[in-house]
Amino acid sequence: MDGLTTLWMETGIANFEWPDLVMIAVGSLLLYLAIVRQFEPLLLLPIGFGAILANIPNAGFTDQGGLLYYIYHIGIETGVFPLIIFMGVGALTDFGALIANPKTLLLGAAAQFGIFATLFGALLLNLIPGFDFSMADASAIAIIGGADGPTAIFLASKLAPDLLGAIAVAAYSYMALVPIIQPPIMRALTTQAEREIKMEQLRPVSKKEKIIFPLVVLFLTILFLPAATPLVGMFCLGNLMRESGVVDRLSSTSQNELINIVTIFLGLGVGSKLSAEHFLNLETLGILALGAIAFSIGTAAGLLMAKLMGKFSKTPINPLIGAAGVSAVPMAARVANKVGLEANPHNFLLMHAMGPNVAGVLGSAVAAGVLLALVG
Amino acid sequence: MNITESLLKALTLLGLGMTFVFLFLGLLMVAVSLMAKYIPADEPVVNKNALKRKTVAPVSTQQGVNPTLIAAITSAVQQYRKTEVV
Repeated sequence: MDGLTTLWMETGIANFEWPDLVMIAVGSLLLYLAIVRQFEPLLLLPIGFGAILANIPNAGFTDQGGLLYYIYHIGIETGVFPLIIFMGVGALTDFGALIANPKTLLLGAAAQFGIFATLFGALLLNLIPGFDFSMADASAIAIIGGADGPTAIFLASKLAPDLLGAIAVAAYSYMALVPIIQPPIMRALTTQAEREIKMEQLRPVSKKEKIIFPLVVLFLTILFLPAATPLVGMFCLGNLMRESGVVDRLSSTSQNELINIVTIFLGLGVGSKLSAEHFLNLETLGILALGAIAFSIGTAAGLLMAKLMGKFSKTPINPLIGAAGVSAVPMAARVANKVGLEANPHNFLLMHAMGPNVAGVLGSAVAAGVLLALVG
Repeated sequence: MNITESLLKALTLLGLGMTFVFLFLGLLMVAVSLMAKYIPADEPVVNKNALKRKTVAPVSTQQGVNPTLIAAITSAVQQYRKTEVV
């Protein structure tokens, strides 16, 4: 009989507490979003599963010695996984559109306004009882506005590790929701005539320019913002491997096998932070709300900057491409293209929008570096 | 730190951060424009086969019109008719 009681006490049913069950439901919801709705499935699937594993009573996944404990401490707490992913993203990125039209860098810069504006939102939430965000917390939350998963995880692991789970989930959810969040803002801030603007064809970019570009970016970062060199450096390494053409094997590994392997562990590690004590609180709701605000402000700032530039530029600029300045590559560029096609079925903005889109990746890495340098 | 102080700090961060992001990417813009100016474009790849074919295949010979030309015209006409039906 004693044996039976001991066995019963070891079952999940005997040990479940409400918060665990709620978190397993949250994990299942993420799995549903990934599998049925196909929202960023590459990340939400391992994150959702990690959340379920982390909340199983008596399994000890997140206790010292548990699998998720090690994955988190080795890969995420150290910042290694997001950086390896960033190298892969660098190897996947073609800067051709940006080099052909360097003005779009300014659009990528403007869209980072969402990040810095959200700082206020996070601090103002402190007025409501139940919220207690420090400046470091607020910065880590605000980076969601950069719409760049690896950057958000990297910064959160450095500035606010306790909020990492909620920040990562918010960042990836909003990236998946780009096609829903952005178009209404884009339509509200532009006129039909502006959306119909056709842009000049981009010039071809030489191979030499593409090889020198990552080196120039790295050089500028070394000179002006060493705090951003972990992110920008790995990104430039990946991009140089791609463009140099002499290490195709390395380039192919970092944009395929390596990024895939690390994505699995990154997802699980983030999922392990979705424990009831860290996730089931008012602050998570605040983070989700602030993320949406950050993202919307970033989109609007990019659009308005594009409108402003269009007034002074000799060549026409369609303001829609400004919205692609929030990174979320290539989804944001596709959305700009789609909204452009709705206004004029013969107007293809995809390549033009890729410029601000990849500029946004650089912009959010620089913004993360600024926040690390000033707040960290 | 009270709320006013932290909001002031956020305002400083906003100003500094945006200025820096703009300066950095603006500098990069200048660097990329300079790069475009001073780095020569790739030499266009000349398709030698295309040039050769031109000289090898005459449009018509003394015996009459080149059969490949007839085939090309026939397929073009057929394609045109097809599009007209649609």
